Amino acid sequence: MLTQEEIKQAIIKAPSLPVVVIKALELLNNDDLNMSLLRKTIETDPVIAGRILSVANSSFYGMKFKVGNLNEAFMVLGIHTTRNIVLAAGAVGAFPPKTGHNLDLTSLWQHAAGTAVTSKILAKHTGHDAETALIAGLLHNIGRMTLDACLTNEYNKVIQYRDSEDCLLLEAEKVVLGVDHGSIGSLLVERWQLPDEIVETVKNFSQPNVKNKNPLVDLVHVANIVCRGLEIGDAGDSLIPPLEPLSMQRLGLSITDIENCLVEIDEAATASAALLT
Amino acid sequence: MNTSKEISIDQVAVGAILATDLKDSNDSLILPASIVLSQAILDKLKARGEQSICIVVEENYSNEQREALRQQIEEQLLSRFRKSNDQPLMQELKQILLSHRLKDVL
Repeated sequence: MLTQEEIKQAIIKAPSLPVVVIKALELLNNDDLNMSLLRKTIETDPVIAGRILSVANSSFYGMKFKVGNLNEAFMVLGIHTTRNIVLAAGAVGAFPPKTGHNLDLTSLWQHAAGTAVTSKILAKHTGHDAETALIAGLLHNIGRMTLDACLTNEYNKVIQYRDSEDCLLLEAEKVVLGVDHGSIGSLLVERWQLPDEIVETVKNFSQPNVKNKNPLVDLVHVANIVCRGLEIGDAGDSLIPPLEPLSMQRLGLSITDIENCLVEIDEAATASAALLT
Repeated sequence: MNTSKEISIDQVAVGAILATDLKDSNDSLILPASIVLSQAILDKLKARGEQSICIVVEENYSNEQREALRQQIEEQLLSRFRKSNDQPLMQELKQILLSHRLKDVL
């Protein structure tokens, strides 16, 4: 079991968003946005700049034409989408898609990107904020990446428990660590100063509260399970967690609605790989 | 199993599937693998001066191969749902996922 101090230390040890991303997000949060300063700030990190252009030009964002530079990208995408792309680029930059200690972060990010686009599709279908759903879906497993990176030995015991008991990784986390990746992830995104609705989603998506009022929690909950069923990436275990009927009810979703979205989800998930390049 | 084949951009049919990521000279992704090539995409690739691309070539499955593939997909999915067989909603979800994933095989 982890102590409160060990959890605190893990969050302190966890990667920050790249400095350029923090600065860019600060600029993007300013009502009087200086586009030129934003471009110059982002250009100081060619990797992040390249990733933003790559994402802006990919069908992950569904742009109909190619943008050649950051100024064009910002103009085409608008502030809200630019902020989300900067954040997505920063999050992927904080935990680069590669082999982790206990988990394969490439597969985990593929699952995260698939869950992101599925959350977006389901949000559109149910009349919720699709852009925020996309980011919440992308970050839903960031706690698992944090645990793998910052509490490597302890997480190895979690994996062993999962294998010996044939249970969900989530259950193994609770038994071995006394805390799950949702709680850890929510502490990290809180440190990253993300909005409360995203913090709450990262914390509760795997088991939405009976009285949940945040539609993002329900959207990411359903999207995560659908992506596991479609085997989009690898969430870290071979079992599919139970779908919460109340989440479906609150969203006004039926199984037939999900069935009608599956082709779109498959296509969007394939395109979402661009986020990880 | 599917294989891939590089063919001239002029010979690519609308609806063909890109077999590998298409990148520019800076290694930036232009199109991800598995994307279905629409007329609009093909026009843009031609406008960019792309000469040839790698597309997926579907092989004809024998009935035995088809059955083996169907069984493999079904077993994988059933295994993933092995702890939730008593939940009606999960049963419904399993059925639509199975139908969806078998569509390309059957």
